[in-house]
Amino acid sequence: MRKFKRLLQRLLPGLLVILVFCSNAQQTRTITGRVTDDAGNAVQGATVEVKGGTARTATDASGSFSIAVPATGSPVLVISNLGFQTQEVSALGSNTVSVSLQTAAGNMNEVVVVGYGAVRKKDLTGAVSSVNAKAISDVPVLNINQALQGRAPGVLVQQANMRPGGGVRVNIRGISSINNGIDPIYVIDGVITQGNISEMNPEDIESIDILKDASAAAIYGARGANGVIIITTKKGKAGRFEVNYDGYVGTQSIIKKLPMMNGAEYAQLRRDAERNVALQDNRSVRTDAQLFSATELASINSGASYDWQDAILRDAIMTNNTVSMSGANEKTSFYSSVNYFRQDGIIINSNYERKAVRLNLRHRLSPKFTMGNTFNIARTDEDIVPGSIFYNALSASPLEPFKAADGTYPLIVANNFASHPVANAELVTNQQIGNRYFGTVYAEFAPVSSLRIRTSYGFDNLQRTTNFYAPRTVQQGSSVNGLASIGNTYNNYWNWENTVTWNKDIGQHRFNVMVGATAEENRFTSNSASAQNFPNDIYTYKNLGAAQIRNAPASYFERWRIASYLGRLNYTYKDRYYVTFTARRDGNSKFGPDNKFAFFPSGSVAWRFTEEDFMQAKNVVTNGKLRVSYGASGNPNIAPYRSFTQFVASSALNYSFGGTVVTGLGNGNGVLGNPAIRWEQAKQLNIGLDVELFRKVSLNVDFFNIQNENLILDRTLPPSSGFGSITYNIGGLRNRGVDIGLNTIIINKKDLTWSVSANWSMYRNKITSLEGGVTERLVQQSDFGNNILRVGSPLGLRWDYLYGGVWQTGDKIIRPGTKAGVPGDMKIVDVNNDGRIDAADQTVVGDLNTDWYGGLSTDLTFKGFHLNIVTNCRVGNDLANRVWDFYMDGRGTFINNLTDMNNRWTPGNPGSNIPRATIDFRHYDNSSRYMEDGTYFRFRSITLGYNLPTAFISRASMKRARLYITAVNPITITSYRGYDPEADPSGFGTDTYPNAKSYMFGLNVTL
Amino acid sequence: MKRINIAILSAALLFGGCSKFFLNEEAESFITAENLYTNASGALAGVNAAYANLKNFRNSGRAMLIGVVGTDESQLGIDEAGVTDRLGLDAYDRNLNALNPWITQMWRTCYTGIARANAVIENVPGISMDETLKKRIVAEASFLRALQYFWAVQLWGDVPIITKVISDAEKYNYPRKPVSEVYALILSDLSKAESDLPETYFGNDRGRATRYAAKALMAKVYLSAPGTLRNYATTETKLREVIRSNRYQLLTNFADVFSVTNENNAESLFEVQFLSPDQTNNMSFATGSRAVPDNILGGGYAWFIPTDYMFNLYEAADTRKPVTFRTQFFNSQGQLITTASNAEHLKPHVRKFEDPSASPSSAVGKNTYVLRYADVILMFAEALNEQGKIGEARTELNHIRSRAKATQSVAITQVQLRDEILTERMKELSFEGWRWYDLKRTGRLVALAGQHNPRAAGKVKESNNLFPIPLSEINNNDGINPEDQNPGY
Repeated sequence: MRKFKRLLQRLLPGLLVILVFCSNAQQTRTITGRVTDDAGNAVQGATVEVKGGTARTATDASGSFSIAVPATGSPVLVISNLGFQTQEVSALGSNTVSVSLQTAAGNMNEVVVVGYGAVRKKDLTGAVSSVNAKAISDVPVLNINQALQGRAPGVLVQQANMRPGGGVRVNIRGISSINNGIDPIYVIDGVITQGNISEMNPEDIESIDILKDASAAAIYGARGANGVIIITTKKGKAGRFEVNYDGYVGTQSIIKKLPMMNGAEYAQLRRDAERNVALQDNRSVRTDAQLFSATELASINSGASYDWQDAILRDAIMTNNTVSMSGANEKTSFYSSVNYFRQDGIIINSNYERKAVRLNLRHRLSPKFTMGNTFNIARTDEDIVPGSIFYNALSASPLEPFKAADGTYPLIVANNFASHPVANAELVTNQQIGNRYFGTVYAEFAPVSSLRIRTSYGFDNLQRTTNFYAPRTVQQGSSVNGLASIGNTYNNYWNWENTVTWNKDIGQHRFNVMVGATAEENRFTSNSASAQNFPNDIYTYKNLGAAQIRNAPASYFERWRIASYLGRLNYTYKDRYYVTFTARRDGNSKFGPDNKFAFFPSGSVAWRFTEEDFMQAKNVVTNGKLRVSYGASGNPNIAPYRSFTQFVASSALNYSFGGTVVTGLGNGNGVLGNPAIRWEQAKQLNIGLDVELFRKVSLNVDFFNIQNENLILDRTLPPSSGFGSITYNIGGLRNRGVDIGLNTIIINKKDLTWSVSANWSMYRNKITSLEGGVTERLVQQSDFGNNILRVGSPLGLRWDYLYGGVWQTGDKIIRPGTKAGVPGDMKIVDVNNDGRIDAADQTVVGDLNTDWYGGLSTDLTFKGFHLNIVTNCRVGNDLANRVWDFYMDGRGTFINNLTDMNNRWTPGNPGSNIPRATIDFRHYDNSSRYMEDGTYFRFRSITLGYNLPTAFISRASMKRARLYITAVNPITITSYRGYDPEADPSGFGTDTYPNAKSYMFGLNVTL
Repeated sequence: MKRINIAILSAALLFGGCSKFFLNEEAESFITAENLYTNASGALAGVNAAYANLKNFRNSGRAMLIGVVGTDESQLGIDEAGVTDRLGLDAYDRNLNALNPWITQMWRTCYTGIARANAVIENVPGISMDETLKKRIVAEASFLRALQYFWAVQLWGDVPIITKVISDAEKYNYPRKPVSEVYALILSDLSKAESDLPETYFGNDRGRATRYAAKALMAKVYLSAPGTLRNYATTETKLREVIRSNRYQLLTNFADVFSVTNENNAESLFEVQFLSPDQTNNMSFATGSRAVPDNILGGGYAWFIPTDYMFNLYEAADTRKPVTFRTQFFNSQGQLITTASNAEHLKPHVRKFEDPSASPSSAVGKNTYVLRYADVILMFAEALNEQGKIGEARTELNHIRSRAKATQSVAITQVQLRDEILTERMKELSFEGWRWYDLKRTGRLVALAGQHNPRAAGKVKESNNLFPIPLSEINNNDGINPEDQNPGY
């Protein structure tokens, strides 16, 4: 700091001398003028300078300026502003000028928020993708991540759970961790959060910037390794006082139903299975009367068939309404909005409702002092369908009517063991209520114009309550006379950020220096209680004390804290050469006493070669920049308290003496604490090229190589240790890939514009090391299948027995272990050809990684009409379609099957590779037949909008009015046989909420 | 400028100065070793957890099959034998290998108990608390550690010796140590237990390890140790001390030994304590018949059943027979079940673990025996016989037979009596978990299992006197290499 002061002291007198010298040098005249945007609104803060001279000023809130120009010659004013094309105006012969700035054609001039500051996109040295408010507001999206889908290169957004309010999975540049979270962090106006942010109204967003490489993400140091998504909310704009209404109403329906057997087909399957088994067991075939329930027999006789998917699905309505107000004068700007969103789910009785209020304020107390806040309050109410509804509906016999003869729902669907799906959905209470308030308060002090000191306190408080009651009229509640539970979770986060930013242009040298210190804390607490055996079904969850059995309550607490120092230096020479250094030192409570701190530096250089003289003359490449960055970021996504050996109270550790239970505490076979645990690190090299041609085509290409080190893995401990595992920094992983973004304006005429944006990304990953000496390891997945981790191979290789169709008559049949087989049974490939099927025959049967993914979108405007189409695709990844495997098991009992099973193997249909019908899995062996290609191409949305003519709307004192219709997910092209290829590939699938297609009609009015 | 400097400086000081405290992580919703072993109740909780591990030998996993099946006493149930990893334990086929999950589970369970005992032995002496209680707790942990090392050394031979809390997990290097060293550790632990444990407990401490349990276990160790380590004289001495304490007796009625209302009785030296509703064992489920639902007495999953040979050994009047076996099965209406999907489901099943007060059979609160007085008497008889005191030995054996209302032994030669004692051990202590060990220490595994267990016949070999070291141990312990595996695996 002292050095800086000394520098100032030395430089200031010199600068003053220069200024005085200049102003005295020649005669001047003053030119005044006003700068507006293409809509006629004042542009505040635009730079006005004299070409070839030194005079420079900025426009005020009304867009006005005044500047001195030489009295002689033909002075030219250069007017520039972020987000607009720079314009030159001759000041010859007139003392007043009026300038209308055109919105920048390319996006090189847009401002990009990079964390603790913002830069012009053309000054960027790192890899950053941006999505602006227009892209979000033109097409209605249900949540923020949908706005990113298919729009940003290198960002793969997949809806993880399609239920209303459900979360998404966002992968930036591949998979950066083997065990720990791979979700990026979200920074909403400076508040750092992770995971579902469905409490936020997407329409409040001004811009989304995604920091992808180390140079950009390193400022978030320890948490940057998975990328950073920075969300900036709207602020009032100078001179525009606006009231805005945005609303739509829409309907949703399932994209596709699974083709399940009808009653007659199902009856035949069961008869076939019975006949096959009777033949095999040498017994007589049982009759229909012995095989089917009375109700099923009635259906067989009447020819009735019941579609259980129809029983749980519906066309559902959704509606969204936002009213916002915004505006600003010289001192104060504000943006405020209220939002009501309701989405009925496509499964009966699943609903989501959000009420959100936002207030963003900024007030300049004095020329040097500014303060403000961003504030969001939201309440969500969700009715969640109890688990297994799809399992129950798909399994249910199509011969069983939905209701019993007396009009009630049976507890289970007879003959199926399946709990009654409709009864569960309609009669079980399962509410989740969320209250979230988050935001920031901040103050900025600028003692001199080049220096800005900012302090900001951010907070994010989320409380969720789950209320559950299963009455005695459903299976879950029947045996216990009603089962109720309530659960509360509280997540309280705060951060305090202090930064000092120094901005100075000295001649051709531009400096931007930021240093800061931050502190954060997150506390998570939860409690829950449950009870059963209620005298009636009236109390539901509202009076647990009324139950006869009150189970032990539970509570939990965990906390982590982070303290960091950070700094960034941006240096620009001649708007041509850029250097950025970033460093962050993070301390995190989750790590052991000696490893709490880690240092994450990065550096990058960029060269805007179009500024070079040799490029100036040619108007082909209108902007071009080469970027190289290298740096480190981290991933601290491990559970807290891993440095401790935890003795968790449990009845397994307790014991009894003399007829009394005594408390025991000691090691289970759990995790041995590791005080030496430290950060995962990602070292990332990024080489990028940004090119703009003819001011119409902009192309961004980024190559990256990410080496992840010290990956936190649980090392299996030998059983003699008495522990199961220890968490260590032992893994290594490499991700390499390319992101390409292309934006073109093909036609740009007054009444007709057409632009196309495309992005394409690919990555390849490779495990570079595993725990000490181990070269491969199996990891069980949530579908109970195994992935294999192998040094030198990618993550996400599926390891299983290989499906080889079915055994044919005359084959020498071998089956796993000592199992006997007959023709029509499943055939497992004897991979090692040793004449038996055992563990040694397992092999890699699928690769869950994509070959590439991308998006293509286009905007076409003609007079008042606007057509927007967004598409995306994901190519070459395998998915575990356990649903297909499960409902193709050919068992003639318990569950319905897919219609594909109609083509099952029979002696008369020997060509089939689908096994015969049996019971008890006699024909069934675990195999890879659930692996499928998950490639899809999807029209994310098609929107047609119409701006009502100005002449018409101005009569109604409206500034703008727009009507639109949108189709979301209208078309999907895929060979995947499950509900949706976008669904969580690691899930068992039967309980995944299926994706919907929807059609909306919307209205957008600005007063 | 100056003011700014001060502001920045103080902000930096604030964070710099506090960050160590700010980032400190404390155990709040759980307990760690550091805050457990600070007082007497923590020490007790530690040793209680060491006892609690014993429950795992009698619970859901199939480790309970080890020591029982694959012998002349017991074989796998027909349905259980359909699963290869379990089949290996009975049939001595290629599924009896280093990957076998139940051998791994047995190994893991032994060492989990050892680790808990180690934590007590290492941490409790440093606690300032009542010295008598402290001594007792450490002695209890020593007893438990010895018991589990004893099982381990018999099952696997040379095994890693771990006597401290693991703190060097990064370079986990614990090689197999010779059997003699393992036995030396067991005996030193048992001497400590013998000297520091009380003779008996009262009230809510009943069930803890006693001095006489330590003596009886020590006797078993001397009776089982191989080669020069074996010492029949010391066995005799230790057992004589147990007998002369006059604290123990054979209960008159054999059925009372297995009554759920008669736990920790006068015949009991050491039991695994179970208690309904959440301290239960799975033995009744594991032995009950599949012909009967498991919420009805006698129902379960028949993981193991008696061999025909063993069932037929009993004389008709032997009072142990109706207590040991269930031969009739009833449905929920109390009607006799006469057909089953598999005929084996109606063959004699093990009854010792049934608890009429429990439902389902997978949650039984009845204790199971580790050491009881009948075992003491039979070991005593064996030690005497091996020292040539045949007459005394026969008298002891006949105590057991008298209680069972079985014919008295008239054996004359040492060899005859040796056979009779070994057979009597099976009839008396059947399914209590010692048969495999008895066959191993007497060198009769191949002969008797090969002759009387239908699946083991022709397959069981001398190398089966040791189990394979689990692969997960070899893979993750730098001190054990694949070539260190026991022969034959």
